[in-house]
Amino acid sequence: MTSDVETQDAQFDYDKSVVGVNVDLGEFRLSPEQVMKYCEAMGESNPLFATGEIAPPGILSSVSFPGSGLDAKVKFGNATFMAGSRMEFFAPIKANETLHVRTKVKEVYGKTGRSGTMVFVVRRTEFVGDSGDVVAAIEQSQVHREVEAS
Amino acid sequence: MSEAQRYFQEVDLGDEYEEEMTPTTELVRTFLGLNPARGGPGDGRFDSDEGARSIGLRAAIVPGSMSFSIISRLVHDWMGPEGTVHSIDVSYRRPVQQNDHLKLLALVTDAEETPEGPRVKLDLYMENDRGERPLQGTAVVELPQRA
Repeated sequence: MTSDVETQDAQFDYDKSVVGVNVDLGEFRLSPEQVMKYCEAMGESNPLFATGEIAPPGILSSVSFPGSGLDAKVKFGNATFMAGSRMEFFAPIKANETLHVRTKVKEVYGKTGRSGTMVFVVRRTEFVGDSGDVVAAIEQSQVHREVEAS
Repeated sequence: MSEAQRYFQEVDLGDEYEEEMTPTTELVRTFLGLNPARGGPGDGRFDSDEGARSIGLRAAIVPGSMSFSIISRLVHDWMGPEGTVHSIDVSYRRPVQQNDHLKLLALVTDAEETPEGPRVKLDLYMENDRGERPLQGTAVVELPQRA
């Protein structure tokens, strides 16, 4: 038996004009040293990443970019949490390769279940290599909800 | 842990792979220190139990991005150096608390030759000692064929 029911009537406000609008966040480059530091911290032992020239794809979830993109300005709840992440990889993430980053708010929706109403913001971020091809994409879903301090 | 190469022909549906890990407070600090410019939520949920309690949590938690990195490592260890990850998709079902001992599990649910290559689908779980599975997900991986 499922308790979560998708609702159309969850009451919340957000800026609809930002949905689907891609914003360039600039570019970044991973150094082999950064890659090796990440591998050491996370206990990555796959020899593929040993020299730091190829990065474990998960490293993209730990880097920051020059900006964060448009804000959907969701007016709901008093706390936000990560709800989910989907990463797709189309080519190896190489150290010293410049990656151009663009992001957009893909969708905003409400859902009401056993624990009340929650509002989800799904953001898609793409990493584009020098060739112009997307080498990786991340979709992150963030949930806004009401919580009480414990 | 991932010195041995896994080949597509050796994979069977239902195969399981398991590792263990404890994301200590120190390890969380190291992870966050990898990129100090990355902003956090600003409520102290990763820094202290007090910060976590201010938003209704029991104790300081592990960032979702770090949980993703932890489960990614499991996939990398499983596939070996010649494997290729195509996607990892996870749901954060409940917060991962710092210093919780975690079992990391991968279960083969599909393996087929596709026009793009031999693909294996894994179910992924992170399980704590309370029997909770705070993270669940799937991965699609390409493995080499044994000659």
